[in-house]
Amino acid sequence: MTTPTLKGKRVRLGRIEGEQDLESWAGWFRNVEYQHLLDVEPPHLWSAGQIQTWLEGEDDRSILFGIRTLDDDTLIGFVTLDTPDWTARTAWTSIGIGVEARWGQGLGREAMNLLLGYAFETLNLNRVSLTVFEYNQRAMRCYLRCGFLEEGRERLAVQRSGRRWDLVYMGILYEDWLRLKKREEPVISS
Amino acid sequence: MKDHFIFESRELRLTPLQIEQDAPVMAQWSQDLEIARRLRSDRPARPLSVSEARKVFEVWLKEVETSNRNTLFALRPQEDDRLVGFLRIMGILWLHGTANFDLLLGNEEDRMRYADEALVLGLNYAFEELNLFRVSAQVPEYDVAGRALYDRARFTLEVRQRQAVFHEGRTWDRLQFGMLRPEWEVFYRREGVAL
Repeated sequence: MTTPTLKGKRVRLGRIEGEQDLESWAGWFRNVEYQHLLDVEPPHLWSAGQIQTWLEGEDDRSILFGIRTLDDDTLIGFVTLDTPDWTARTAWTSIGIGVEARWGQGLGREAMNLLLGYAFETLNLNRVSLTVFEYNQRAMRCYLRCGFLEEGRERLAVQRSGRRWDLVYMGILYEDWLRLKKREEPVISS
Repeated sequence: MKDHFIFESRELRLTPLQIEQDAPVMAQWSQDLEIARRLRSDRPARPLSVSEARKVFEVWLKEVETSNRNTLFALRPQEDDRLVGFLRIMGILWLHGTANFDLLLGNEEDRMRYADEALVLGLNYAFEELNLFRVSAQVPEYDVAGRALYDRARFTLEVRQRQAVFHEGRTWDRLQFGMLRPEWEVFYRREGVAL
Protein backbone atom coordinates (compact mmCIF):
# COMPACT_ATOMS: atom_id res chain seq x y z
CA MET A 1 0.00 0.00 0.00
CA THR A 2 1.42 3.37 -0.98
CA THR A 3 1.14 6.42 1.24
CA PRO A 4 -1.97 8.40 0.36
CA THR A 5 -1.09 11.54 -1.50
CA LEU A 6 -2.88 14.75 -2.34
CA LYS A 7 -1.42 14.67 -5.85
CA GLY A 8 -3.07 12.95 -8.81
CA LYS A 9 -2.26 12.74 -12.50
CA ARG A 10 -3.77 16.07 -13.52
CA VAL A 11 -4.72 17.86 -10.29
CA ARG A 12 -3.53 18.18 -6.73
CA LEU A 13 -5.28 19.26 -3.55
CA GLY A 14 -3.61 22.20 -1.84
CA ARG A 15 -4.19 25.19 0.36
CA ILE A 16 -6.06 28.26 -0.77
CA GLU A 17 -4.12 31.42 -0.03
CA GLY A 18 -3.05 34.72 -1.54
CA GLU A 19 -4.89 37.42 -3.35
CA GLN A 20 -4.99 35.64 -6.68
CA ASP A 21 -6.73 32.57 -5.21
CA LEU A 22 -9.30 34.75 -3.48
CA GLU A 23 -9.98 36.73 -6.65
CA SER A 24 -10.43 33.46 -8.59
CA TRP A 25 -12.86 32.18 -5.96
CA ALA A 26 -14.85 35.43 -5.99
CA GLY A 27 -14.98 35.32 -9.80
CA TRP A 28 -16.57 31.86 -9.92
CA PHE A 29 -19.74 33.20 -8.32
CA ARG A 30 -20.38 35.43 -11.32
CA ASN A 31 -21.45 32.26 -13.11
CA VAL A 32 -24.95 31.65 -11.76
CA GLU A 33 -25.00 28.10 -13.13
CA TYR A 34 -22.05 27.34 -10.85
CA GLN A 35 -24.09 28.59 -7.91
CA HIS A 36 -27.21 26.67 -8.98
CA LEU A 37 -25.24 23.43 -9.17
CA LEU A 38 -23.46 24.03 -5.87
CA ASP A 39 -25.80 25.39 -3.24
CA VAL A 40 -29.39 25.70 -2.01
CA GLU A 41 -28.83 29.33 -1.04
CA PRO A 42 -30.06 32.09 -3.35
CA PRO A 43 -27.23 33.12 -5.73
CA HIS A 44 -25.15 35.90 -4.27
CA LEU A 45 -21.82 37.67 -4.84
CA TRP A 46 -18.91 38.01 -2.42
CA SER A 47 -15.75 40.06 -2.55
CA ALA A 48 -12.30 38.49 -2.17
CA GLY A 49 -12.08 40.17 1.24
CA GLN A 50 -15.37 38.65 2.42
CA ILE A 51 -14.21 35.23 1.28
CA GLN A 52 -10.94 35.69 3.16
CA THR A 53 -12.79 36.58 6.36
CA TRP A 54 -14.97 33.51 5.92
CA LEU A 55 -11.96 31.25 5.31
CA GLU A 56 -10.20 32.59 8.39
CA GLY A 57 -13.30 31.87 10.48
CA GLU A 58 -13.32 28.18 9.48
CA ASP A 59 -12.36 25.80 12.27
CA ASP A 60 -11.07 22.24 12.43
CA ARG A 61 -14.53 20.93 11.78
CA SER A 62 -14.25 21.93 8.16
CA ILE A 63 -11.36 20.80 5.97
CA LEU A 64 -11.04 22.76 2.76
CA PHE A 65 -8.72 22.07 -0.17
CA GLY A 66 -8.17 24.03 -3.33
CA ILE A 67 -8.08 21.97 -6.51
CA ARG A 68 -5.07 22.96 -8.66
CA THR A 69 -4.10 21.77 -12.10
CA LEU A 70 -0.63 20.21 -12.19
CA ASP A 71 0.36 21.72 -15.55
CA ASP A 72 0.02 25.40 -14.60
CA ASP A 73 -0.88 25.36 -10.87
CA THR A 74 -4.12 27.26 -11.48
CA LEU A 75 -6.82 27.12 -8.82
CA ILE A 76 -9.87 25.67 -10.59
CA GLY A 77 -12.11 24.65 -7.70
CA PHE A 78 -12.41 23.41 -4.15
CA VAL A 79 -13.36 20.29 -2.23
CA THR A 80 -14.32 20.03 1.45
CA LEU A 81 -14.72 17.51 4.22
CA ASP A 82 -17.25 18.86 6.73
CA THR A 83 -18.82 18.17 10.14
CA PRO A 84 -16.80 15.07 10.95
CA ASP A 85 -18.29 12.71 13.55
CA TRP A 86 -15.19 11.01 14.98
CA THR A 87 -17.27 8.48 16.89
CA ALA A 88 -19.26 7.20 13.91
CA ARG A 89 -16.24 8.04 11.68
CA THR A 90 -18.31 9.93 9.13
CA ALA A 91 -18.09 13.27 7.34
CA TRP A 92 -19.82 15.21 4.58
CA THR A 93 -18.16 16.34 1.38
CA SER A 94 -18.82 19.02 -1.22
CA ILE A 95 -16.94 19.91 -4.37
CA GLY A 96 -17.08 22.66 -6.99
CA ILE A 97 -15.15 23.31 -10.18
CA GLY A 98 -15.40 27.07 -10.59
CA VAL A 99 -13.76 27.39 -14.01
CA GLU A 100 -16.48 26.46 -16.50
CA ALA A 101 -13.94 25.69 -19.27
CA ARG A 102 -12.77 22.83 -17.01
CA TRP A 103 -16.20 21.22 -16.58
CA GLY A 104 -16.73 17.72 -17.94
CA GLN A 105 -13.04 16.80 -18.09
CA GLY A 106 -12.93 14.40 -15.16
CA LEU A 107 -10.89 16.76 -12.99
CA GLY A 108 -13.53 16.81 -10.26
CA ARG A 109 -13.56 13.03 -10.21
CA GLU A 110 -9.80 12.95 -9.80
CA ALA A 111 -10.01 15.50 -6.98
CA MET A 112 -12.81 13.57 -5.26
CA ASN A 113 -10.77 10.36 -5.46
CA LEU A 114 -7.85 12.14 -3.80
CA LEU A 115 -10.17 13.43 -1.10
CA LEU A 116 -11.63 9.96 -0.47
CA GLY A 117 -8.12 8.51 -0.14
CA TYR A 118 -7.37 11.20 2.42
CA ALA A 119 -10.67 10.64 4.27
CA PHE A 120 -10.31 6.86 4.52
CA GLU A 121 -6.56 6.31 4.78
CA THR A 122 -5.34 9.42 6.58
CA LEU A 123 -8.33 10.36 8.75
CA ASN A 124 -9.59 6.79 9.27
CA LEU A 125 -13.18 7.66 8.34
CA ASN A 126 -15.62 4.88 7.55
CA ARG A 127 -18.19 6.85 5.60
CA VAL A 128 -18.41 9.99 3.44
CA SER A 129 -21.81 11.50 2.57
CA LEU A 130 -23.02 14.09 0.11
CA THR A 131 -26.17 15.51 -1.43
CA VAL A 132 -26.62 16.47 -5.06
CA PHE A 133 -29.48 18.12 -6.94
CA GLU A 134 -31.48 15.86 -9.22
CA TYR A 135 -30.76 18.23 -12.14
CA ASN A 136 -27.00 17.91 -11.72
CA GLN A 137 -26.67 14.69 -13.70
CA ARG A 138 -23.02 15.28 -14.52
CA ALA A 139 -22.09 15.41 -10.84
CA MET A 140 -24.18 12.34 -10.05
CA ARG A 141 -22.38 10.32 -12.73
CA CYS A 142 -19.07 11.52 -11.32
CA TYR A 143 -19.99 10.44 -7.78
CA LEU A 144 -21.20 7.02 -8.96
CA ARG A 145 -17.89 6.46 -10.72
CA CYS A 146 -16.07 7.46 -7.54
CA GLY A 147 -17.93 4.66 -5.75
CA PHE A 148 -20.77 6.57 -4.06
CA LEU A 149 -24.15 4.84 -3.94
CA GLU A 150 -27.51 6.57 -3.99
CA GLU A 151 -29.16 6.12 -0.58
CA GLY A 152 -32.45 7.89 -1.15
CA ARG A 153 -34.08 11.12 -2.23
CA GLU A 154 -35.51 13.98 -0.24
CA ARG A 155 -38.51 14.45 -2.51
CA LEU A 156 -39.05 17.84 -4.19
CA ALA A 157 -36.75 19.61 -1.73
CA VAL A 158 -35.36 22.17 -4.16
CA GLN A 159 -37.21 24.95 -5.98
CA ARG A 160 -35.30 25.97 -9.13
CA SER A 161 -36.15 27.06 -12.67
CA GLY A 162 -39.87 27.12 -12.00
CA ARG A 163 -40.25 23.61 -10.63
CA ARG A 164 -39.27 21.34 -7.78
CA TRP A 165 -36.49 18.77 -7.82
CA ASP A 166 -35.34 15.98 -5.55
CA LEU A 167 -32.27 16.26 -3.35
CA VAL A 168 -30.35 13.03 -3.88
CA TYR A 169 -28.42 11.54 -0.94
CA MET A 170 -25.29 9.54 -1.69
CA GLY A 171 -22.75 7.80 0.50
CA ILE A 172 -19.57 5.78 0.23
CA LEU A 173 -18.23 3.39 2.87
CA TYR A 174 -14.60 2.44 3.29
CA GLU A 175 -15.50 -1.08 2.17
CA ASP A 176 -17.09 0.27 -1.05
CA TRP A 177 -13.95 2.25 -1.74
CA LEU A 178 -11.63 -0.71 -1.12
CA ARG A 179 -13.68 -2.89 -3.42
CA LEU A 180 -13.48 -0.30 -6.19
CA LYS A 181 -9.73 0.18 -5.72
CA LYS A 182 -9.17 -3.56 -5.92
CA ARG A 183 -10.99 -3.68 -9.22
CA GLU A 184 -9.19 -0.68 -10.68
CA GLU A 185 -5.69 -1.50 -9.48
CA PRO A 186 -5.18 -5.25 -9.39
CA VAL A 187 -2.43 -6.27 -7.02
CA ILE A 188 0.39 -8.06 -8.84
CA SER A 189 1.90 -10.64 -6.55
CA SER A 190 5.40 -11.82 -7.28
CA MET B 1 -64.75 28.77 12.72
CA LYS B 2 -60.99 28.77 12.57
CA ASP B 3 -59.22 27.70 15.68
CA HIS B 4 -57.20 30.62 16.98
CA PHE B 5 -55.38 28.52 19.53
CA ILE B 6 -52.92 26.76 17.26
CA PHE B 7 -50.39 26.24 20.04
CA GLU B 8 -52.46 23.71 21.94
CA SER B 9 -54.07 20.35 21.59
CA ARG B 10 -56.18 18.29 23.95
CA GLU B 11 -53.34 17.33 26.25
CA LEU B 12 -50.40 19.45 25.20
CA ARG B 13 -49.20 23.04 24.83
CA LEU B 14 -46.42 24.59 22.75
CA THR B 15 -44.86 27.22 25.01
CA PRO B 16 -41.76 29.41 25.23
CA LEU B 17 -38.60 28.12 26.83
CA GLN B 18 -38.07 29.19 30.46
CA ILE B 19 -34.31 29.00 30.79
CA GLU B 20 -33.96 29.10 34.58
CA GLN B 21 -36.82 26.73 35.27
CA ASP B 22 -36.13 24.29 32.40
CA ALA B 23 -32.34 23.96 32.62
CA PRO B 24 -32.29 21.64 35.66
CA VAL B 25 -34.91 19.43 33.99
CA MET B 26 -32.84 19.09 30.86
CA ALA B 27 -29.68 18.45 32.87
CA GLN B 28 -31.56 15.58 34.52
CA TRP B 29 -32.68 14.16 31.14
CA SER B 30 -29.11 14.26 29.85
CA GLN B 31 -28.23 11.43 32.23
CA ASP B 32 -29.71 9.43 29.37
CA LEU B 33 -26.76 9.41 26.98
CA GLU B 34 -28.98 9.15 23.93
CA ILE B 35 -30.55 12.49 24.90
CA ALA B 36 -27.10 13.89 25.67
CA ARG B 37 -25.97 12.88 22.19
CA ARG B 38 -28.90 14.63 20.57
CA LEU B 39 -28.40 17.81 22.58
CA ARG B 40 -24.78 18.29 21.55
CA SER B 41 -24.10 16.13 18.52
CA ASP B 42 -20.69 17.69 17.90
CA ARG B 43 -19.19 16.57 21.21
CA PRO B 44 -18.72 13.29 23.06
CA ALA B 45 -22.04 12.38 24.70
CA ARG B 46 -22.01 12.98 28.45
CA PRO B 47 -24.51 14.31 30.99
CA LEU B 48 -24.79 18.10 31.16
CA SER B 49 -24.50 20.20 34.28
CA VAL B 50 -27.29 22.70 34.90
CA SER B 51 -25.07 25.55 33.71
CA GLU B 52 -24.17 23.61 30.54
CA ALA B 53 -27.86 22.99 29.93
CA ARG B 54 -28.44 26.72 30.32
CA LYS B 55 -25.70 27.37 27.75
CA VAL B 56 -27.30 24.95 25.29
CA PHE B 57 -30.57 26.86 25.68
CA GLU B 58 -28.84 30.18 25.17
CA VAL B 59 -27.30 28.89 21.93
CA TRP B 60 -30.71 27.65 20.77
CA LEU B 61 -32.40 30.96 21.54
CA LYS B 62 -29.64 32.94 19.87
CA GLU B 63 -30.08 30.86 16.72
CA VAL B 64 -33.81 31.52 16.77
CA GLU B 65 -33.25 35.26 17.19
CA THR B 66 -30.43 35.78 14.70
CA SER B 67 -30.72 33.17 11.96
CA ASN B 68 -34.39 33.44 10.98
CA ARG B 69 -34.11 29.72 10.22
CA ASN B 70 -35.18 28.06 13.46
CA THR B 71 -38.14 27.97 15.78
CA LEU B 72 -38.22 26.46 19.22
CA PHE B 73 -41.09 25.37 21.47
CA ALA B 74 -41.05 23.85 24.92
CA LEU B 75 -43.73 21.16 25.30
CA ARG B 76 -45.85 21.24 28.46
CA PRO B 77 -49.03 19.36 29.43
CA GLN B 78 -52.36 21.17 29.67
CA GLU B 79 -52.70 20.09 33.30
CA ASP B 80 -49.47 21.56 34.70
CA ASP B 81 -46.33 23.56 33.83
CA ARG B 82 -43.98 20.61 33.74
CA LEU B 83 -41.46 20.48 30.84
CA VAL B 84 -41.93 17.26 28.85
CA GLY B 85 -39.90 17.98 25.73
CA PHE B 86 -38.93 20.25 22.87
CA LEU B 87 -40.06 20.71 19.32
CA ARG B 88 -37.53 22.53 17.19
CA ILE B 89 -38.09 23.34 13.54
CA MET B 90 -34.58 23.77 12.18
CA GLY B 91 -32.79 24.85 9.05
CA ILE B 92 -35.78 26.52 7.44
CA LEU B 93 -34.96 27.43 3.83
CA TRP B 94 -37.52 30.04 2.88
CA LEU B 95 -36.62 29.96 -0.79
CA HIS B 96 -37.37 26.23 -1.01
CA GLY B 97 -40.02 25.96 1.71
CA THR B 98 -38.21 23.19 3.56
CA ALA B 99 -37.22 22.47 7.17
CA ASN B 100 -36.22 19.74 9.63
CA PHE B 101 -38.20 18.62 12.65
CA ASP B 102 -36.34 17.77 15.82
CA LEU B 103 -38.76 16.37 18.40
CA LEU B 104 -37.31 15.41 21.75
CA LEU B 105 -39.29 14.02 24.69
CA GLY B 106 -37.49 13.69 28.00
CA ASN B 107 -38.71 10.28 29.09
CA GLU B 108 -40.45 7.18 27.83
CA GLU B 109 -43.77 7.76 29.55
CA ASP B 110 -44.17 11.31 28.22
CA ARG B 111 -43.07 10.19 24.82
CA MET B 112 -45.85 7.59 24.68
CA ARG B 113 -48.37 10.12 25.82
CA TYR B 114 -47.42 13.32 23.99
CA ALA B 115 -45.21 12.64 20.95
CA ASP B 116 -48.06 12.21 18.47
CA GLU B 117 -49.86 15.38 19.53
CA ALA B 118 -46.61 17.34 19.44
CA LEU B 119 -45.99 16.22 15.89
CA VAL B 120 -49.50 17.15 14.73
CA LEU B 121 -49.18 20.61 16.31
CA GLY B 122 -45.78 21.03 14.68
CA LEU B 123 -47.07 20.02 11.26
CA ASN B 124 -50.00 22.44 11.52
CA TYR B 125 -47.62 25.22 12.41
CA ALA B 126 -45.12 24.33 9.67
CA PHE B 127 -47.68 24.19 6.87
CA GLU B 128 -50.31 26.72 7.98
CA GLU B 129 -48.12 29.43 9.47
CA LEU B 130 -44.65 28.98 7.96
CA ASN B 131 -46.11 28.05 4.57
CA LEU B 132 -43.53 25.30 4.10
CA PHE B 133 -43.72 22.81 1.24
CA ARG B 134 -42.09 19.92 3.06
CA VAL B 135 -40.60 18.86 6.38
CA SER B 136 -38.01 16.19 7.14
CA ALA B 137 -37.09 14.25 10.27
CA GLN B 138 -34.04 12.12 10.97
CA VAL B 139 -34.27 9.00 13.10
CA PRO B 140 -31.51 6.50 13.82
CA GLU B 141 -32.37 2.95 12.82
CA TYR B 142 -32.30 1.72 16.45
CA ASP B 143 -34.95 4.23 17.60
CA VAL B 144 -37.90 1.92 17.07
CA ALA B 145 -40.38 4.24 18.81
CA GLY B 146 -39.24 7.20 16.69
CA ARG B 147 -39.69 5.25 13.48
CA ALA B 148 -43.14 4.11 14.55
CA LEU B 149 -44.06 7.71 15.42
CA TYR B 150 -43.27 9.04 11.94
CA ASP B 151 -44.95 6.04 10.32
CA ARG B 152 -48.13 6.71 12.30
CA ALA B 153 -47.97 10.38 11.35
CA ARG B 154 -47.90 9.27 7.66
CA PHE B 155 -44.39 10.45 6.88
CA THR B 156 -42.58 8.64 4.06
CA LEU B 157 -39.20 6.97 4.55
CA GLU B 158 -37.01 8.70 1.95
CA VAL B 159 -33.34 8.13 2.77
CA ARG B 160 -31.33 5.41 4.47
CA GLN B 161 -27.75 6.51 5.12
CA ARG B 162 -25.77 3.36 5.76
CA GLN B 163 -23.67 3.09 8.93
CA ALA B 164 -24.07 6.79 9.67
CA VAL B 165 -24.53 6.67 13.46
CA PHE B 166 -22.71 4.86 16.26
CA HIS B 167 -24.70 3.49 19.19
CA GLU B 168 -24.05 0.78 21.77
CA GLY B 169 -20.93 -0.53 20.21
CA ARG B 170 -21.84 -0.61 16.52
CA THR B 171 -22.90 1.49 13.58
CA TRP B 172 -26.50 1.86 12.47
CA ASP B 173 -28.23 3.48 9.51
CA ARG B 174 -29.70 6.96 9.75
CA LEU B 175 -33.23 7.13 8.37
CA GLN B 176 -34.79 10.27 7.00
CA PHE B 177 -38.53 10.71 6.77
CA GLY B 178 -40.39 13.39 4.85
CA MET B 179 -43.87 14.82 4.50
CA LEU B 180 -45.01 17.07 1.65
CA ARG B 181 -47.69 19.72 1.92
CA PRO B 182 -50.11 17.89 -0.44
CA GLU B 183 -49.75 14.76 1.69
CA TRP B 184 -50.43 16.72 4.85
CA GLU B 185 -53.51 18.28 3.25
CA VAL B 186 -54.92 14.87 2.38
CA PHE B 187 -54.15 13.16 5.67
CA TYR B 188 -54.74 15.94 8.16
CA ARG B 189 -57.25 18.27 6.59
CA ARG B 190 -59.58 16.09 4.60
CA GLU B 191 -59.46 13.06 6.85
CA GLY B 192 -59.39 15.25 9.92
CA VAL B 193 -57.22 14.34 12.86
CA ALA B 194 -58.91 14.73 16.22
CA LEU B 195 -56.81 16.28 18.92
